[in-house]
Amino acid sequence: MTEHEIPREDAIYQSAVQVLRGGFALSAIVLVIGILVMMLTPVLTVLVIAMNFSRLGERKFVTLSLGVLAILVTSIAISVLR
Amino acid sequence: VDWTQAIELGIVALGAAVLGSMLGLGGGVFLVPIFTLFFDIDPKLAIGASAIAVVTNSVVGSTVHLRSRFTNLRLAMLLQVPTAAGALVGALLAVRAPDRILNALFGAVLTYAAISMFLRRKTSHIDTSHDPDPMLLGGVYYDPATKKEISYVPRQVYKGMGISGAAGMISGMLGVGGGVIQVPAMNLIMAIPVKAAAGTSALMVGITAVATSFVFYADNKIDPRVVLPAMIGIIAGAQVGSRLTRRVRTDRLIIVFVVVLLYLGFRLILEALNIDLPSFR
Repeated sequence: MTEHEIPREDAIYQSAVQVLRGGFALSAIVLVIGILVMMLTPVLTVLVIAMNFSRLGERKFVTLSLGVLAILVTSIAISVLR
Repeated sequence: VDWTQAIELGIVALGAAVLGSMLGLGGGVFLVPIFTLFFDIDPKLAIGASAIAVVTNSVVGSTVHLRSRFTNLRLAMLLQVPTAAGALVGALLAVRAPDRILNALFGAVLTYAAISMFLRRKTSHIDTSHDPDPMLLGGVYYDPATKKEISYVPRQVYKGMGISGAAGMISGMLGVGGGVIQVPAMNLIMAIPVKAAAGTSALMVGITAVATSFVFYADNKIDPRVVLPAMIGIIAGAQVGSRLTRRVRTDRLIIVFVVVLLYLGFRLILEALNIDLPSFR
């Protein structure tokens, strides 16, 4: 092995490490996004329920659904503001 | 948490969900104590993971109930206001509470679940279809078991809302769905048929657990390394559990489950009192 080959070999190892690290970081980000999407799904469901009660003209249930939504948004606001 | 432990957590979550869904308790009731007692996971990380697993289970499971019209959306939104508010308060208290308090509370809830399961062999079948319905909360669904259309009108609505608030708070503190308290309360106090109570609760527990999970997320108690095995295990376990329920006479297994619940409850209370028992691990 000559002196010139050592840095070249080193580069192969380094790039492999970088690819692995990058893949791991990206998958971790995707997983966290997946968890967040899961957490937001029921919030979206309540919003859709409120909109449908509104379409039916059922004001009392629109208010209740929006009340639930307000509590969930408060919970999200607490997590964002911390 | 390394890979082997993540796999172990996933298998345990699967087992917890099989048991939980066979009993109609949801997986969280078994998940948190097992994670805490046998895997030395921080109780708050276990509660956070359980809350996300409850959301996942509700998102997957409530579609079936919604399609069958077992879910009463008007009733769900009414009861959800105190439940979600209770969960938010409960979660804010839980992230600040010492682990001992959470363990003691969880132990008490497991003991309650065990005793109520042992005593609860009866469900209410009151015909409320001709009751007046001034709050427009009545529901109708087709029951494939009896091949009849069932209509009902919830009774004692304000009492139901009060119990929902308390159930929400316990749910927020412990990361369980709250169905353990809510389904029997809906059936026995509000005279709602079991299928409608279970269907309505299935949607509600997910919304309740969302209020909890964002608070735990803010407090860095949502760790993907614990959450993911719990999520995957709970989804797979709920599927297996619902299939097994159709084949196995769960009433014969009840006594075994009661013993398991009592054992876990007892261990958590001992843990809260700082009394050590020899560990299995």
